[in-house]
Amino acid sequence: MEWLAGNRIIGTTAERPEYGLPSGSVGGWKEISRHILGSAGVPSLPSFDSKRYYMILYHSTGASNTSSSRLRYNSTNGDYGYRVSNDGGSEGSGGAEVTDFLTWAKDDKPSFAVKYISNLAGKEKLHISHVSQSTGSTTVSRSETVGKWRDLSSSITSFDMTKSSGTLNAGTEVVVLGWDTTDTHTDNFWEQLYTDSKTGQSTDNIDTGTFTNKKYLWVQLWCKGTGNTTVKATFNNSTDSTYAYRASNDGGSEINASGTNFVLHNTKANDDKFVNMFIVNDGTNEILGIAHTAEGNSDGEGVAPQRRETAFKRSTATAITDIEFDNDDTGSFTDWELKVWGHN
Amino acid sequence: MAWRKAGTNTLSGAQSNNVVTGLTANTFNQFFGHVISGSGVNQVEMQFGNGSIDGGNSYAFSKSNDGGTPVDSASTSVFKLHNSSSQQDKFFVGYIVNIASEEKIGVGYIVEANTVGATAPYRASSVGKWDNKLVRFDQMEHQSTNLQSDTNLTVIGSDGSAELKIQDGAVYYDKTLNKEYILSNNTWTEL
Repeated sequence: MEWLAGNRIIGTTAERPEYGLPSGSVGGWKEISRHILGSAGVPSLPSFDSKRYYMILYHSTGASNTSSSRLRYNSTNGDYGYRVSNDGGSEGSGGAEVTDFLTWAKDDKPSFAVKYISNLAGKEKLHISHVSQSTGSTTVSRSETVGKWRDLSSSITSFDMTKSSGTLNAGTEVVVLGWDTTDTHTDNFWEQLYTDSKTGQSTDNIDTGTFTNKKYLWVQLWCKGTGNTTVKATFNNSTDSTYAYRASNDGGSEINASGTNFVLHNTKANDDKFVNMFIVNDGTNEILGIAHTAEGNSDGEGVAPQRRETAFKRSTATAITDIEFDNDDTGSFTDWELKVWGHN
Repeated sequence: MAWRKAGTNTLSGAQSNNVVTGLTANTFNQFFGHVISGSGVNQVEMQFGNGSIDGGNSYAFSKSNDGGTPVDSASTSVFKLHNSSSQQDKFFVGYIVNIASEEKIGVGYIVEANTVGATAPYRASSVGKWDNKLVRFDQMEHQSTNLQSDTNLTVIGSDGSAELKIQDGAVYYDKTLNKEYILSNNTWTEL
């Protein structure tokens, strides 16, 4: 069945919907609140109905100073704990923070965070966050944070941000998605923009081809090959020297690099590779992203898999309409599954 | 296709494990869960299966606690996510591939609350695999001990169908019959 312009549909007799409003599957993450700054300030989001889980997308276009950006739950101060590692370094932790850290200093440059929160009234609210922050024209920083709001009596129904001083730039945005066990909605924040499934190929290039640009992108790639393969990514088929990334393989020394692509594989070895990646691209500011990679290592349960954690950016503001994953080693890609979701 | 609810289960009383069965077929899955503690130690150890949970030594994982050196475990019976099995609430998020003919490899993250109150939480990050290249999983289990009421495990999948929003006035061209129909009050009428 194919949708045409002007509320027209074309298809076979069998495909014609029996009723006017056939519903899809019960959905995934659903948008429940957002605030984008029209001028310099700090976001304060409209309140929302409680959900068991939240997924927060935070995009800062920069700030008037480097002080860290923080998040408050239900406008409450004074009950937050955290543990963080910046750039794979030694951990910092505390149990009695005034507010919840969203990013860590360096906030004069653009930042992108993806945060998940559990939200059950009567229990501490726990969260997991990954951050990618621009730190210069060819450098990017990464953070991994967990935390909690110690409240034991209420559920979260609002967020607002604070800074100890200064303001965030216009265009800074917080989007809150919710998911609840009782949800029955059939729509999703994340719209599928591209999907591909191939077997038995022999290529050095997995390319989405053109898809509709969205500000926030969620990408998942699984691939395998014959011989050694790399996974090096670019946007819009551009290999100019505008990419930078910071990564760690298996928790090891930080890899800090810039160049004509960003690297998502841990090892070139001939193994299965799975990449989960979030990207923000508003067409005006630097592109920022967060990627996590699992590699099967040798086949079999007798060998532990490997991991890579990557923060990346492209310094050229670009609306992403194509993502490419390249191999430049001796092998080639044979099989892959690739999906791209997005939302403005 | 769109993300969809693949399965969820919330415990109504204390149990050792929390399992979600009847998972729909999806290439990619995201899973997340919230552990409610309150009586002894608990764990977050994931297991998978088709028709029944595979409790054999067909798993391997690599895990780092609080940013420390990763510890590998192979030929084991779980994909472990937790940092400590001490009695504390936990929240975890993961992503995993589910292709029948391939190893199921995934990524997981966890936060653990520590003692209730003004304490810093703990964390761990993991990668793992279920070495099964014969079937897709249609069950996912959070294996533990002492899980309390309201503990939840949720799985969403990548291959749901999108909602069709067809409104009155829509015109359907039936290319089998070469006829056109207009929709009004949930009824298609030939034009």
